[in-house]
Amino acid sequence: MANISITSRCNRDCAYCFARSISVETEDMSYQLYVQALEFMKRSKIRQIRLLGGEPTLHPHFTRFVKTALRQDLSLLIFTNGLIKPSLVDFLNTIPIERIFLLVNMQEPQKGEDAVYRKQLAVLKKLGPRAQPGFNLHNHTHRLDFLLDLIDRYHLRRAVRLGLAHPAPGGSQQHLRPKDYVRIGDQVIAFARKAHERQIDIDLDCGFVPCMFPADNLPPSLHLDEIGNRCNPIPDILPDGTVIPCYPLAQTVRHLFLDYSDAQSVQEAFQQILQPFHNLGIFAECADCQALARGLCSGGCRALAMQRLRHHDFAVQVPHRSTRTKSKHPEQHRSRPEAHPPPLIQDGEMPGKRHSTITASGHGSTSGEQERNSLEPEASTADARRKHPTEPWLIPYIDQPPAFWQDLAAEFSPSIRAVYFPIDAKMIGSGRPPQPNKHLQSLLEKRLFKHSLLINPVTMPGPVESIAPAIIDHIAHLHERFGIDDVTFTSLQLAALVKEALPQLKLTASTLMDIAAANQLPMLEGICDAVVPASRIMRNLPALQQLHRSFSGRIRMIVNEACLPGCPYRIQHFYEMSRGRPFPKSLCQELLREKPWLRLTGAWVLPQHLHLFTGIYDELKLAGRVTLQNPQTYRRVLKVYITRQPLMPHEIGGGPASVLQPMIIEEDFYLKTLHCGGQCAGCDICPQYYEKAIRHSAVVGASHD
Amino acid sequence: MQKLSCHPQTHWLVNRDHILLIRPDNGKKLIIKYPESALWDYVSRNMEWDRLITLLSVLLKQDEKDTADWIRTTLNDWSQQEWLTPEEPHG
Repeated sequence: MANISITSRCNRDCAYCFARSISVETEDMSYQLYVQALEFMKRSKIRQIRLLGGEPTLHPHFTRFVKTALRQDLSLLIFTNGLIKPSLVDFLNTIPIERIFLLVNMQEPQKGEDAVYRKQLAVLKKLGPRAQPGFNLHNHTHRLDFLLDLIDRYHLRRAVRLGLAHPAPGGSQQHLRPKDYVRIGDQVIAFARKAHERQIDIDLDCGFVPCMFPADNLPPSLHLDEIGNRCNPIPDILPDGTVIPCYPLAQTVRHLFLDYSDAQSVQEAFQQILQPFHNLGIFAECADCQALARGLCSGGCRALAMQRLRHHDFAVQVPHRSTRTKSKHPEQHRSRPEAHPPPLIQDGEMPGKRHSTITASGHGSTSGEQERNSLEPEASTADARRKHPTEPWLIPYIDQPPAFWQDLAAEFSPSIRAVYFPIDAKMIGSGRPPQPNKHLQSLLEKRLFKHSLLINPVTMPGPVESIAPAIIDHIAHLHERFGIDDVTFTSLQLAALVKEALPQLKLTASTLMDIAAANQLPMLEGICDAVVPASRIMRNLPALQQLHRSFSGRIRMIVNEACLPGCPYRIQHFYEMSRGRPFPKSLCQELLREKPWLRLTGAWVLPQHLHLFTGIYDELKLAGRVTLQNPQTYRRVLKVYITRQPLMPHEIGGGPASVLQPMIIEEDFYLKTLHCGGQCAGCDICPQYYEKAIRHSAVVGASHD
Repeated sequence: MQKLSCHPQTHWLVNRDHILLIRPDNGKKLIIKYPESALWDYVSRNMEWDRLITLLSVLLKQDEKDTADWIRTTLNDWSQQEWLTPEEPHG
């Protein structure tokens, strides 16, 4: 068998579609290439041509293509979404049913008015027994009974084809995860029983595995021995003449079909290339599975199994002998230690989450495992201060028109990694008052920058599992529409659910997740790719160093966070802000009136002191969604940070606990605060410095007056 | 100091009781079981040499010198089998 995809056009936008992520050089297959593809099929002794897309009936010369195949005594099977023009349906109905048949991929009827479904029904009604309904399972909540009703109502062929939503190249579309499979199996069994009662067959497409189903009590329409070995890729010829083993494996191997004599030789070439990935299995348990060992199963969708593969760059520095401590027990020597191994995968653990997935071409993305710089701060030389490295900055969205962002991009784009913005306040809100976002849409559409999404209310507005589905849908939409692939969370539980649903995203633990010590990092494994350290260690260099050493992902440091470290009012303050009590109403003000010097202990880093943190951050974040809403101030502060010119702490756009008066922060003093561990009780360095600086500030202010 | 890096074509897959190394370019596979799998896991996280020794010597109930020797031998094997790539020292 082989398929011909004659067009990449489609009039639907299915979230699980694995075809749309494949780039082809031409949208529609040319007639000349189509004729060559038919010749290829005939040479391959293939008499049934399977046309797919996209939506194949959208090809401008669809009728000509059909007639050409029929003239050559070939029959046709058309994979369609059912949104076929009435004139084309009439045309198809003029052809004998044994020459042309349609597999109609249905969508689940939606509540209320559902134009797509209505159109599909109209087409099914006309096609009758010429059509068989199909359905792609992409979650475990489908209600499939409607398919059986359609068969009876429109006298369709008495069979339903069920497919699984497999991953596509890049993995960006919605697809099933191995852990979904058992629930999908239950769903299929329940459906198959009802189908059997109505004498309707179930055709299972590739990727189903026997362990999805209980071995006993299977409905007669399902046969386990036929289920596990359906991964035998059928070459798909694409509109541009390239040929792939199947859509999910399109990135692994892609050749030109004209380079081969027939489909069998293509298949042999593909099998050879894909051999290393044979029998990997979609589950960690596959390695010990008897069904796999006995050839009853090949471990499910190979593309899905390949998502378990890990690859990233790493290196180990091996010192020459004798550079390490002496043996405590020199008499003891074993060439290979014996020990009882712990299982590498615990029950229920999903492998492959912690690291990025790969393509078989070997181009794996890394998970931030670059070799660390020295963890000790570099010398504070004038040279280092003058150096303006192009560092990755995350900067806040403020509601400014496109011209503002264009200017920003022109001046700073090499330094800007992303512009971040909060999730829609109607959806969940963030730990700030709702902010204007009149120009956000246009900024996202222009794609001047990459963007990063914040989902950071200090508490979730309800049980996370109940609010997660809508948030996941929203993120998936932003990802597909605007390429947003970086999301910051305050809730680890929510982040875990999002990572599970959209593993291609890079997730960041917000500073409000309060990650301050290495022993918290295992909790983030497999979920978060970056961490914004807790504000209480942002001025604690040893703690930051420890965190950086222990975390394999990226450390994102906020430069102008001004909350007091470990502020006991913070959570309530963020909660109140999110409920509409805006900045600068703050709960720490009374405390700061009594102990104003606490303002010096905030988690801010002035641009001139950034070099003291060299080697312990991977990217920098400018806070200021609220405090830097003035575009001139925003731009000035950003520029000064990027170019590392000196600032005073009242200028950085920190929050209400910032230093409010102009004062010079000397490097010696600042450096002390990075190593003091916040032992404020009994220490008078900050109170004295504050008093002195305020006096100096008053003198300077008076002389300027 | 010798630096060993992950070969650009080396991929791995974590199964219940072993790690499977794969080279898609030449089809080679290698199953590594504990304790080698623990070593792979640690080095793939860029763990520093001293910490590697400390952790593995505790895990293996073996003194640090023997642990260091075993790590060297194992890494060297992986390098010869081209799962890892030695990098020439600069300068």
